[in-house]
Amino acid sequence: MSAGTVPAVIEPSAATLPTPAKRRRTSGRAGVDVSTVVVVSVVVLLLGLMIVYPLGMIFAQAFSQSGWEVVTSMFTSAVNRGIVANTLVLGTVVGALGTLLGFVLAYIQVMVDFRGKKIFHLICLLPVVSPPFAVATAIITLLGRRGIITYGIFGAQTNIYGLPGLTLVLVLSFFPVAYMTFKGMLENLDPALEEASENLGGSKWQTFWKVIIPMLVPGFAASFLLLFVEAIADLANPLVIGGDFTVLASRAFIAITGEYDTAAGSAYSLILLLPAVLVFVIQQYWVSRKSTISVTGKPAGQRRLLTNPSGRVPLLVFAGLVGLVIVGIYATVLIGAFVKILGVNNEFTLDNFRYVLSGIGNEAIIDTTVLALIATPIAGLLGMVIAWLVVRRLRHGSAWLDFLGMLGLAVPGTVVGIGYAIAFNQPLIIGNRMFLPALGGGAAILGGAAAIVMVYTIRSLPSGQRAGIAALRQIDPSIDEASASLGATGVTTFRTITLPLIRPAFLSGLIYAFARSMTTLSPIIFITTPETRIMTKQILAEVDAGRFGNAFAFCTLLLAIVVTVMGLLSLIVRGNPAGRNSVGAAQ
Amino acid sequence: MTATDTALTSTDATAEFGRISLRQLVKQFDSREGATLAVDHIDLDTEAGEFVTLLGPSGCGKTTTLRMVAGFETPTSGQITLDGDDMTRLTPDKRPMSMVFQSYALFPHMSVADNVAYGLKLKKLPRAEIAEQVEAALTSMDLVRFVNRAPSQLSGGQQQRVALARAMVMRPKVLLFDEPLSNLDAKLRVQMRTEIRSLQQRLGITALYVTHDQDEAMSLSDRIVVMNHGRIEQIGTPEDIYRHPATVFVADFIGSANFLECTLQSASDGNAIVEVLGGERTIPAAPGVAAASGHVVLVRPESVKVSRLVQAPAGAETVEGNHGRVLRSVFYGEHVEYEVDTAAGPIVAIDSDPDPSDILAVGDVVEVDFPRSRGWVLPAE
Ligand SMILES: Nc1ncnc2c1ncn2[C@@H]1O[C@H](COP(=O)(O)OP(=O)(O)OP(=O)(O)O)[C@@H](O)[C@H]1O
Ligand SMILES: [Mg+2]
Repeated sequence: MSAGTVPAVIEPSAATLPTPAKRRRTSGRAGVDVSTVVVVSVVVLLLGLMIVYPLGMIFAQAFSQSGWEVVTSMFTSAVNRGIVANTLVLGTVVGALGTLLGFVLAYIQVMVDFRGKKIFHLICLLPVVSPPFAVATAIITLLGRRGIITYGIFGAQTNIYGLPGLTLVLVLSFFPVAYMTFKGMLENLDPALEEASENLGGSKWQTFWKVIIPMLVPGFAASFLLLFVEAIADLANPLVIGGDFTVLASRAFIAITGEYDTAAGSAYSLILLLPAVLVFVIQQYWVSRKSTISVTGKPAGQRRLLTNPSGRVPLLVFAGLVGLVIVGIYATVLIGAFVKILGVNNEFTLDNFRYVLSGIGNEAIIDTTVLALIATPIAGLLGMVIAWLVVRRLRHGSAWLDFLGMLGLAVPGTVVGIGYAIAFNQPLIIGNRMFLPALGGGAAILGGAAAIVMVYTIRSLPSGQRAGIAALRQIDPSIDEASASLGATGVTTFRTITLPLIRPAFLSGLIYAFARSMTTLSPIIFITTPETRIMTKQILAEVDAGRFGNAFAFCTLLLAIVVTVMGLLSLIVRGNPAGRNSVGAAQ
Repeated sequence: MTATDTALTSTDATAEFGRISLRQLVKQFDSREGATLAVDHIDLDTEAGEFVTLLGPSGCGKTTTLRMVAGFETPTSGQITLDGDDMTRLTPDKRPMSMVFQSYALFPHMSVADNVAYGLKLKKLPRAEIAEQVEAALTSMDLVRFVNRAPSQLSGGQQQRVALARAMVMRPKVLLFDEPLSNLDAKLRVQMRTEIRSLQQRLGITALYVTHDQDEAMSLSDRIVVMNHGRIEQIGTPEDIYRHPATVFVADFIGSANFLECTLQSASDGNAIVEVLGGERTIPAAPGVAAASGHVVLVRPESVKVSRLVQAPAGAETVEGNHGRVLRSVFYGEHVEYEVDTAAGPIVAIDSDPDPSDILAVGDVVEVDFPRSRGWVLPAE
């Protein structure tokens, strides 16, 4: 700049006299806000009780003498080696196929021009809210030995049990995770990149392979790993459609519920836990950092959709087929609930519902819904608090707290359940004092409800936490600082500023948490008591007894409840715009 | 400002509070790539009600210093006191200071009125009093029309006024600003800085203001603190900093500067005898020049006088002694800028409002001079 524009406003000022500083020490450690310390302590204590302690019990049992024998037999015994191999094969196959399916569907959804994108999106998400068993039982009904399609139409007696059926069911159940990952990434892919590539002489096909796919590599890695964990952690489907194909989760289940051998159950759990947590850590803290696309911004620019028939037609045919399969599965569930025996006696009846809504079934519906409704806000709030601590409050240890909170997702449900059974089915007595009464199992206080609420909470906490972290990262940190600068403590800032700002994320976290609680089975199976009945466990009992009609009725009701509550919650989200309450000041 | 700003026309404009002292303040950031010494042993004392600006190039530690005063960063070592009370370990909410942020940081889910009332509510003032103070603050910032609007429905300038009102209404002992005007357009920036200055003076609140815009620093400040690499280069009034910079860095950073090569003969009593532009001259000098090994004379472009030599000395070197040749001549409208090649190096000169016939052309041989009192001898770097 030129010197001539320096303004002439020059005011006299007093000489620089250093003021004699009266020393008056104030207490408290550097920069640490007492309220934050209290909150961190409470959160860590809760997480310790709900996840660290049960996991610790599994470790203790697995490293006991009889437990350790089972652990070493993973390498020595051919049967156990087979089980481990089965588990890894299942994880790999489901991870690969599920990722591929999710990618193709997401690509079609984002890149291809067709009508009905909304409905196609909903169809792709349907499996997320579906109860376990729904897909498996429907597949058995359609494709099993006496399957409506395989036997009824083609007259073939297929054996769907085992790896093929399990793969089919798990891919159909879990691909939405991959679909959502890729959809987010593709939408955030700047269309200018594709245009630049085409402008430089690349065809659509070359652009796809040289520009789009390389940018999605982190997405492929992430969703493969996530699906791998989901697949090896699943218990419900191996029980129903696994046949002789035993995996670690089902083996651990048999050890606990059939052989009453907690040490062996813990040993299998440990072997299941290690790859699950390892893969999870790689996915969360390594792969997701490598991403070159941020999945949070607004979609950039207007995308030119694929309209060329040579690409569009085969893709749309494929999408239509997948959509048909998914719709067919849920149609099977729905119709199956209203007929005597689907495929055998297709006479309309309300018997299934009559059975389900009387006695035990009715209790289960009420208990499950009430407990899920109790756990949901706890999980949501806890998730938000952890997110806030991780993003805003903690300098050191935030990665650890984040990891602790995410454990409920990383640790397979079967392992959580077995850990809970060991930790909470007896009272915790140290010396002669009882620190904690039994929370689960036959002798539990509150009929075991406390343990179930804890399981629901710890399992659905991570979704809220993730949503909260993503939302908080988008809020300018100086908004928090402005609040502090105006005299608010950390907790006041959270209550008056942070929480209102992340409310949409909070509520969508709640929705997901509720759906997850209602449909979770694997941890619950180990801690239910005769007093507290849980729907998913009742469905398992019906499936085991071969009463598919009742199972379908249960699934239909469960779906109805989940969809209703989700609808109500999203109504609350929409009907509550921020910034209503205003002071009467200066109006 | 209008005459309606009653509540903000403070009666304690002469109050004796708001003296900040920074003692040997250090902030080191440790990261995987190594440690950054962002603030390096800073000492600073402000007067009550003084407007002090931290000025310096990007990354010199201004923001870090301000954030330590506010309590958002914990000093690695050193002490911060306010009116003798140690603030070093207090959390931000316990410090009687309010900050105005570059991004305004208005709470997006609250109306304008709620934003301004926020801090007062936390103080648990009676409702009526809150209403009264908020009203007064909004009136004085000319925001009454917007009370019920959301921040997103305001222009940048209006948002900044709300941020200012929200900070002022707290009656803090110190106001902290981190580049509050940098998101505004040039015209609004000039207008807002006048408002900030007059409000601050009327309320008598000490202000610590961070900027890297020297016009802003010059026009707002009682004193300017020039920082570089985490250290203070100089503290002084705008005039001091401009006319009598302590170092070549300060001279160069503030305004534009010519540094003429020179040889020091002797120095005493704030004056130095130097040989420059082919002659011996007595020129005001920075303290401590005698001890330095090399020297330069600072002359601001507007102090340089260039005049055409009607008769170029025949056969003599044109760039010798106080003679030079014009390398560049640019007509800016309100002034003409020349660059002249001389024996003491290239010199930039500004001639404001020259007679059309006097405007020099490239290649003209000229005589270069400057009034003695406008020179300033400095240790070379
Ligand atoms: N949180 C941090 N972690 C590591 N280094 C930091 C951090 N904050 C600031 N620094 C470093 O400290 C130095 C001073 O930063 P500071 O923000 O105070 O500069 P500044 O003078 O305000 O610059 P600008 O004018 O660009 O705002 C810089 O080198 C910066 O990279
Ligand atoms: Mg800065």
